[in-house]
Amino acid sequence: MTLSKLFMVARWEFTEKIRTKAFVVALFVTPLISVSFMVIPMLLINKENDETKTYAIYDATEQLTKTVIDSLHSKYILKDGKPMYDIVPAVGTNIDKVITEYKQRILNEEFEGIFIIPQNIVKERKAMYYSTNVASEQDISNVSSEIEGVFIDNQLRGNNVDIYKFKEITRSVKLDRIKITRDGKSEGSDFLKQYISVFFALFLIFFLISSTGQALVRSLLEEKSNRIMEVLLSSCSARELMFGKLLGLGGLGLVQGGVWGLLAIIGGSQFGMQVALTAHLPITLLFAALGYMFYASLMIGIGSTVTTEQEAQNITGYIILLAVMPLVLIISFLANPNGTLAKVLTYIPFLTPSVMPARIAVQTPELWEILLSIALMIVSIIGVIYISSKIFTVGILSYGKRLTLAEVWHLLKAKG
Amino acid sequence: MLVINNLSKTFRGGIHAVQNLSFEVNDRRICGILGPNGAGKTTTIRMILNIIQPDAGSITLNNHPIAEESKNVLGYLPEERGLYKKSTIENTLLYFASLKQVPPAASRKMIEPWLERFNLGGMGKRKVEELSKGNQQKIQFIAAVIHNPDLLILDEPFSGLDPLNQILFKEVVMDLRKQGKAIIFCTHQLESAETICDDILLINKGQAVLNGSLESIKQKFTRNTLLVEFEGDGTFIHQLPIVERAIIEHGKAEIELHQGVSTNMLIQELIPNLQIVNLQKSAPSLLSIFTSVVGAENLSSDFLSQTQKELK
Repeated sequence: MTLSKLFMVARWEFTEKIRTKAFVVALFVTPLISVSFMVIPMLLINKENDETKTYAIYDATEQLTKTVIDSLHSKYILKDGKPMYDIVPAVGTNIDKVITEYKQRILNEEFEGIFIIPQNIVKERKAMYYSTNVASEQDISNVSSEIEGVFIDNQLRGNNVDIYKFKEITRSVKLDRIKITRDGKSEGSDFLKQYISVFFALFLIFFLISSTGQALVRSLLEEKSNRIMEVLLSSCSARELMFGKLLGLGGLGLVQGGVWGLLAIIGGSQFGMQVALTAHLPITLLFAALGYMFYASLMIGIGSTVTTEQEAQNITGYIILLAVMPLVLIISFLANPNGTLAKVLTYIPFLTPSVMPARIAVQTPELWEILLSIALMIVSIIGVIYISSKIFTVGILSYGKRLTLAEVWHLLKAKG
Repeated sequence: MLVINNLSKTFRGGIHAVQNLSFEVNDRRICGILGPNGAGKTTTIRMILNIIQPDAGSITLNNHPIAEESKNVLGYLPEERGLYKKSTIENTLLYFASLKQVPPAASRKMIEPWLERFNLGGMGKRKVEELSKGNQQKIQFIAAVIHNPDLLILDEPFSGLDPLNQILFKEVVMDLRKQGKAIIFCTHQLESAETICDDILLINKGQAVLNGSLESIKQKFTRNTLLVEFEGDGTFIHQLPIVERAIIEHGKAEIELHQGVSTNMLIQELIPNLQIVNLQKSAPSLLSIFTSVVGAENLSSDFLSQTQKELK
């Protein structure tokens, strides 16, 4: 193999692809889309909170309304100083008549809804909320917990219990989770942060594989269909071509992963989450790189046999499905990260790159397990490259008809 | 100089793509490889390019067996037209030259003269997709010769070109021959093969059917042949007892007479039935030679129809 030719192919693949619109778009649009999925709903929620919401309250006990209103006004205030909740007492002697009247007024959008406190609340412990929208969780629970608080205070007072003493006694107990790691240190575990960093790594692998994988298969198909492939092969060997392409692709992956990682760190710190900056970052990145090499080698071998756009889409689809599988599986084994299921999944090369970092983040496995899985990945990558290069040498010269499994099997048995 | 000796290749499934093929391409010579689709041309070319390995036989270029290093002194223009559309002309040419291990400084110097030769001077920074099809074909041709190869393999280099550009391409190919290159020229177009080839190799079903210099082949097959142009229905010519063989088309016939039959005797037979427009004695065309060697039934029908179309 002539290394200089290999590097020429790698340089061409890298410099020509990095300039394409598709690459630049994928580089910046992909994170933009994923971020907007998180940010847009948050913005919309904040937007709604800019306006005062008006509720009605009907208090059959005639003891709670004023205190509830005062306490809500002092507790929840909008940015412009106005109260977040405007509570209007409903008047009437017959509860059913009130409900009928306010149902109409709510439909006319005078109120968001009405809270009904029935006479028998002391016994039944039940209040009602009528609204066209009973799912605006935050607002409803803000108001209802205020009603509950005032009601209980009233009860305590009525039974001559010392309110302050009662509150002191019933103060809740907080649970601190501290993770023990193999190296003997115990660290305050912010579970959410680690969980997110695992998901971040999985998404990184998934996006890298799907975007570069598709680009790779498509460019192979183009080179085959317009016979540039033959000109290339009249200049360099199939192996030089394949390893050059893998190397160029690796460079593109590095750029893509690097940019996305950087954006995630910057974005994460803006939202107060040091997403990627956990202690497990290096090992997560190592597995991401191994996983990327594994899938890229697989893709180049299988991709070389493709002869139509249709086949290209099918094949990349299947491989991407394999790559996304861990995202689904991970939920089922995180509860028991050292269980049999997790252990078995760790040693399936398709899943190792995402399952292992996930386990490390949740409950660090034994060192030998980590080393074994790294070794397994390296052996698998070499194996896949070996098989792929055999398929590649023949696949890139086959037109019109895809290699059959029997032909591939014959190739693998052949020496050389 | 390329020497091919007893070359054979059998694919899985027992298809004998090439069988015991031997021929030579000398420096300063253009060797036309002709034959119908599936005759084994592509397989032969791929073996010369060291893309696939022969089962038996040898290929030597300048007295060295073909190996990976030989690729640096080979130039190849495939039949299908294809380039990286989004890349610039300059980058494309630099890339293909770099794969032949030409230093960038050296290939950079070659680019502009070549572009000027093809009337594309100063267009190096343009993207390939901005060029017309014919101009893209010129770039592809330059990519095949920019590294100054010893052996050049051209597969249908003139197809799809307008007449002016065909002349330009032919001039360039002739120049390359003058510079001492050995050139293989694959084509269906027997007429253009006749105008530029020094040697001819006809393959059919993986075997050489005819091989030698164009001159010697023509001499060997020169017979009592006449080209007649006429008005009227000429199909009766086949039945004339003085005719050995005839290729008859609308208003045109290539007629081979039996030994000893004079031109006057033919004219006497034609005059009552046809209006003769033109008549000349001729060397046999490649097509008539081919059909006489292998018999029309042995040449696949698409080759015949293709070549006959081009004769019109």
